[in-house]
Amino acid sequence: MTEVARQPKAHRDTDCGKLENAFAQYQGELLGTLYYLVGNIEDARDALQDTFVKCWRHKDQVAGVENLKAWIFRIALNTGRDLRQTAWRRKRQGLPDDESIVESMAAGPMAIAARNEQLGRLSEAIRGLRGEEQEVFLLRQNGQLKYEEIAEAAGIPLGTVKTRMRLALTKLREALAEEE
Amino acid sequence: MDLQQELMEFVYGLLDEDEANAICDRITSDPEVARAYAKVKLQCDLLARAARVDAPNVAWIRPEGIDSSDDDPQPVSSDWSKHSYRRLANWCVGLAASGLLCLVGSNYWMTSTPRLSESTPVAIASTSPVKVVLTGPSKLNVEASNPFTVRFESQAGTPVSTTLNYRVFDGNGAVSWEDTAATNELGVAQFDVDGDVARDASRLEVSPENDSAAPILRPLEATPERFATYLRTDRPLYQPGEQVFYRSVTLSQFGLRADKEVTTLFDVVDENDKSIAGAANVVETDHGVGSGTVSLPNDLPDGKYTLLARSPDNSFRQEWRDFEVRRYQPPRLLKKLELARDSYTAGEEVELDFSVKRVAGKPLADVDLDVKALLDGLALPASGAKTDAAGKSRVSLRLPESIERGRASVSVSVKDGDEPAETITKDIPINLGKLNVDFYPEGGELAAELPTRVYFFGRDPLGKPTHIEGKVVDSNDNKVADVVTTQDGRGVFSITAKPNEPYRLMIDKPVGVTKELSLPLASSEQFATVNTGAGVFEANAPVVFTLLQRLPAKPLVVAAYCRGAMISQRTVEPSDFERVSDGYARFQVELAIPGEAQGVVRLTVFNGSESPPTPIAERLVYRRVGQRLEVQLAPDAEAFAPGQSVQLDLRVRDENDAPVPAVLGISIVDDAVLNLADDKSVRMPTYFHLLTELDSAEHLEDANFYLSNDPESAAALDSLLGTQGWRRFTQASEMQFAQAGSGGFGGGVSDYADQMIAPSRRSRSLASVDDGVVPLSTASVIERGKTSLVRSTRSHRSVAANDRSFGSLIIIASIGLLVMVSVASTRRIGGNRSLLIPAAMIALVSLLVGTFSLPKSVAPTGGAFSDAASPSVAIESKFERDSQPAIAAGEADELLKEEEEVRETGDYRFRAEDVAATPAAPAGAMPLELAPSRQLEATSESAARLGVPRDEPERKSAAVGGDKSGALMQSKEKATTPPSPIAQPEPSAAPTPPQSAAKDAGGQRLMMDEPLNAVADQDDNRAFRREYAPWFYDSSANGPVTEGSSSTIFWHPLFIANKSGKATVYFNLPQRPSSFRAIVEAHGADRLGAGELLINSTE
Repeated sequence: MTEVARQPKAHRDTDCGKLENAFAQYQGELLGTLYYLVGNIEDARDALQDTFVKCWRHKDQVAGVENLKAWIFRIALNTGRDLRQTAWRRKRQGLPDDESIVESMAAGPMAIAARNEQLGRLSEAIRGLRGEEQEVFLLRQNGQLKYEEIAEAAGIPLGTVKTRMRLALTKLREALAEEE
Repeated sequence: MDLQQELMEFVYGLLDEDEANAICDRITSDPEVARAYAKVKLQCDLLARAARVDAPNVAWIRPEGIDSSDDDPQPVSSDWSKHSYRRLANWCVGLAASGLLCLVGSNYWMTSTPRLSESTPVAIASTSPVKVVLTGPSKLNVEASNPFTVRFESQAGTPVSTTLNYRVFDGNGAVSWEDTAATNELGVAQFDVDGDVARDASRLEVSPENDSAAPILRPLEATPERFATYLRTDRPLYQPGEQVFYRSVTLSQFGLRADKEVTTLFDVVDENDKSIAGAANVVETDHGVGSGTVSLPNDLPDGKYTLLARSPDNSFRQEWRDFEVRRYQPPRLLKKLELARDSYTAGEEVELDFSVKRVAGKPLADVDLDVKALLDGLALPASGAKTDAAGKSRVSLRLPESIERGRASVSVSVKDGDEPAETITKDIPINLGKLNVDFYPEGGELAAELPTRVYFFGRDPLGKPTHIEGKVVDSNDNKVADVVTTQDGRGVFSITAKPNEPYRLMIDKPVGVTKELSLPLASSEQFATVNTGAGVFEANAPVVFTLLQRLPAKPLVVAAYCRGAMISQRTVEPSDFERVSDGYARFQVELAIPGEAQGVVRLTVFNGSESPPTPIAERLVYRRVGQRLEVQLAPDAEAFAPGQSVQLDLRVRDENDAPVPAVLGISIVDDAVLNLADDKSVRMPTYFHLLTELDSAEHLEDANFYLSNDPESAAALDSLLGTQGWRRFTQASEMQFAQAGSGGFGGGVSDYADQMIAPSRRSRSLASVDDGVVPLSTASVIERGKTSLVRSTRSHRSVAANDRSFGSLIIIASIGLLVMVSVASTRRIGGNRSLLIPAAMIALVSLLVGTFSLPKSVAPTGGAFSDAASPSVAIESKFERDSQPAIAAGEADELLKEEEEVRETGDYRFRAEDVAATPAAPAGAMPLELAPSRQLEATSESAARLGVPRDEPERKSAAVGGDKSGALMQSKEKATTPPSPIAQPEPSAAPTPPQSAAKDAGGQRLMMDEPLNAVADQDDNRAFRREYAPWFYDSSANGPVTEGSSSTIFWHPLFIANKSGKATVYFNLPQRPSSFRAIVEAHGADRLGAGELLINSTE
């Protein structure tokens, strides 16, 4: 008998709800993370669905997870990595100005245009990060993972994580400086 | 760390607690910091928005069977047909996969069963199976010996001693060469296929003498002939209205032979790639030499111009040579201002060596210097007030601690008596912290856990070499190695890298470098590397280097290549390696390579455990040139007066001091002009021995330095070769070859990735291999009793047909199964992953099996297997022979014999005053647009006056190729037709030199040339003719050369030293104190050489 079967159904329903709520809540961050990892929005959507399925398959562990967001992001990272390693997928290029990046309509049209352009360039800068820097940055930025958690997820020393984060920030800051 | 970065790290929680507290305090106490913090927060918000992607709500699809209510009974679908389809689809996929497996199994059974019953039986059926591995070049070089290695071993891997017979068959199936070789104690035998044999080789057969194994049959093919072209002009600086004399030398790539005529197209273009009128020229080389002249228009704007030489049939890569056109006053002083380093940074002291002498050669001693230094438009104090007795002075200045833009220069003015002051200016390269550093781990990839040398190359954003000092640190900022450049921004350091550890270079000089300079991550997959030590080896000495690989050791194959030809190879077994530590082992390889392999040698290490072997490490090294020509220039006096005649004796000898007949190119040019242009032109030996193998060699400031006797040249050469990387060593295909025409000095090569996958791909389709640089051929493995190579054409075809049908069937079935899986998964009619994934795997594996099951080639190869293919080859050969015109057979021998007589007995001399004494005899080359009739007049007139050495290019051309002779005749007829109005040249005050001349004059054989309308009329493109040696003498004045004459007083692109290696030239010096540099480049007897001499005339 599986662990799932041993759990009371009410608990499992709660876990399922938590999981679905979490995915709904972090959808933008998850999709963003996967988008940069796999390089295009179509694959990112597929990867997000795969991540959901993987989490769903292990939903019995949700109750014991201390940081659900970190847990989901770790699974998303692995899914994204798997997808990225598929050679033929790497050849698919993402759209330079992705339609999914939508700006608020609160500002005026000029400001929106400028802001969208700025976001597009920043998006380009994130895409330009080295893979390992990108992962660390995205896990921290989108997943709000602690550096210790990132180190554990990526299987690298804490010092390396911080170095990569610093490198990523330096590069992104250069992109921001160019904006100005 | 700057404040912005610190604040950003604070926001992202990267700072330690103490640092974070400190920055918090500053934010609260310092309004400036608070503002910066607010700005950083905004930036971080922006980053957060950029990092996420907002998309419409995703509908989460829960996986089947793991629903939250999965312990509840599954609801019965109302759509019965959907389930029914799914079940049907699953069954279909399962059955198809099973059927495919059966098919693959049948194929294996069929192919593994001996099917030689109807063919000639293998003689050693009763003995134990033997494995034979043949390794060698995939294509044969016709100019070099082609090394092959055969290894015999039992199935258990024990070496087998035997004697081998090996035979090479030509295209008609006849044995063109055979020999025997005994295996050594390792079961290895080595033999070479000679280049001459390789030319017509079609098949190699290797078999044990006692027939203890079936023979290995290996198709052979020779590489197409490749050439390299060296290009030079008489000088690098001209004034409008002057003539540019140019010369190309086209030699075979490996043997450096000039035994083929090659058509060469010349042109001169400006910086916008626009051709100069009259510059286009088509020439067929003679003794490898093509030449011509270009008259620069009087109104030509100043600027950089480029002489281009290219081949219409891509026999050689496009070559170019830049020269400058500007109006200048001929200098009276020879000045030099040299920087001690590649670049400087703020606060450093800059030292320059200044020297000055009069053009006649005497140094300008004890004269005052006027030194001015400018930095960003402001004057800087500089020292260096007076020259010493040798005319030298050290100029120094200190750069300020703060530099805004970094535009700096130093000017030194010097006066010689009452003459006007002359000035030399030098820009000071200042680096303000912007630089790029490229890292080149020795061998290619940075291997984890192996001591590896890493070469590096630092450049500023403009690509100029930059001096670097710094250190390599790991992720914890611990120093791993010191880094200092040695020459031209290049250097090397050693590192034993840990896997996945990021290393970076921290720069101390130049100051202010903020860019992150990361080393490539060490690869755990890279299990072997090389260490070539000094990287420069003596002539005729073996190439010795060290192989390192992680344990457990694998068999490696090492091969050496020189200018596209494999020159040596050997296998290194795991047992050869000496364990250094628990982690890795090493082995010192000594590769014996033939004497003619000199210059740049490419060492490639292959993984011998794979078939075909795949390249894993590569490095360029240099083998000093042993076989060379020494060119001695001996004037008839030690000192000359202005206007005096000079007799210059030339002697050409080889490395053993034996005289050698050679083809010479001679220029005698005003040294003051060369000095003014800071001439560092590449000499011919440097070009062929070094630059043809380098990428972007045109960026080298002084390429000749690397092969000079300077004590620092060897280390600089090693760094230069170490920083070439390994990705560029695959030569381009024919198409790439043509497209990469602008690749510079023989550069322009394709990415190494091509080579990495090339062996397996190319070995399957030998016909598509473009050249001989594919590193190794497939290792042919034959196990007795299982071989699919048969000794009967019929059975071979039968087996091939079976293989083909089975292979095709498997491929079709695999594709079908893949389609089924795709449809089932995408349409969600067969959602069972546990079935679909294995089915897809089976389909893919079967597809591979099917692909490999297809026979590679069913064409039998000559000899006992000859079929209709061979006769057709024979017919073609006969047709080619028959197509030769009658003139070729008879006259050719006669003409060649006549030429040979002249060559053996002639003591070729030029007496320039013979020409100078005649009035206004223009010499040199005629512009392309010149009307035919006018050209004929010009050539006749000039031919009567010119004394040009022997040659019979026109008739020789006819003798060599029938097509060419026909084309030449056609060209002659066109010479009498009226010229096109477009082709009419504008009358010019300057003398219009003829393109070439042809007539007997003064006992010398001359040549009559036809006009070339190659550009205007494509049909006339075939009217190629050799450019006649346009030797030059200033004929603008009656009598000897006078003041203000051209800076080039003698030029001859094709001058022959006789069998005694002797030649003599005569010329007059101008009527003023002067200094002329005579440069002689020689090629002959597969050797190259160059010599130069300064000839001064003083009052």
